[in-house]
Amino acid sequence: MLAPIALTLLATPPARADNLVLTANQQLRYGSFAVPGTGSRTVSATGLVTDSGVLPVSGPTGPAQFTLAFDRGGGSNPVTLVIQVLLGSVGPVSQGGVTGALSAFTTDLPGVPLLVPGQAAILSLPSCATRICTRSFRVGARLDVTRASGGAALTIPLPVSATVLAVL
Amino acid sequence: MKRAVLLLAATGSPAIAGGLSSSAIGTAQAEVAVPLVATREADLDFGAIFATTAPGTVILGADGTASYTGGVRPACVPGACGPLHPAAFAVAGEGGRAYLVTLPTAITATGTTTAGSPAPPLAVAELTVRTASRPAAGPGGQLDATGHDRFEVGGTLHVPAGIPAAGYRAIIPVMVTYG
Repeated sequence: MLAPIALTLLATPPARADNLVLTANQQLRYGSFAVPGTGSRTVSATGLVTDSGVLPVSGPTGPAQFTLAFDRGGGSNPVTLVIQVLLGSVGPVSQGGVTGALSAFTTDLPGVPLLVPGQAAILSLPSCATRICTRSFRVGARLDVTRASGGAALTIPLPVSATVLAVL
Repeated sequence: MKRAVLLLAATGSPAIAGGLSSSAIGTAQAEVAVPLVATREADLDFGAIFATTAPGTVILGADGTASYTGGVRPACVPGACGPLHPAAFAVAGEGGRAYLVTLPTAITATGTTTAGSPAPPLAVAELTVRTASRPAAGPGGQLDATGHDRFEVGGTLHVPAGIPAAGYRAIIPVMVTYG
């Protein structure tokens, strides 16, 4: 009688990672500002705005927000997720006589104050007891602007990827 | 029974998710505007006046109209002296954008008498703005498609009784911002 029970246990797939979805919920918003020549605006992960050499005009500001949703596929025991977050290459963008470049990426993730493009950051999500574990995080950055002429509406892509390294 | 316990322990060990990943592309957005530049084209000039034993005012509208109250009278017949006129400024910036002119509520003009001594200060108050694009909108204007506009500044010069003959000057700080 022992053997059939054991076989049944082995045939039952272990709780496994069914799905991981990373969603970009909110843009990194720098608002509108004037730049005589060169200047920078920093929007922190908490939304703090710091200007250097720019003149505020208007418009909403705020950090980008991403949400990780991990469907563990079943099971009710709390698990800890270990996830790698990677910010891809973020190059400068030019439009007309205006060039903008992002740098100094910050997050509000515990233990991950900085994101460096191309360098993985490891994130731990402890005590997930629901089927779908979610975690939202915000990303801020410094935008350096050089304006030779005219104005511009700059849009700079922020490619972010996440990989589940372990479910503990 | 011992074997079953071992199997259960094995299924309770850490499960390696192994490469399950997802990616998303967020965006950073900024609107970079051309800085506003205001250039003085003409000073606010109340002209030459006679002050009498009664106080009075010279009221110079931003549209250039002038009137006198109390004991103040123009010193020149029309055409004999340079005309009094409001201050004029040119504004350049981002085409199509609205802007706002901010002025102090009052300033003080300092002067020197014809004898070379300091003259009593004069107050310039009730400063008003008239933009070319929105003449009836007070301090609000709008740059045209090429990013240009003009505005004028008038005010009221308060003249106390019995001041000596003197020449006066004042600096009006003008701030122009996108509205």
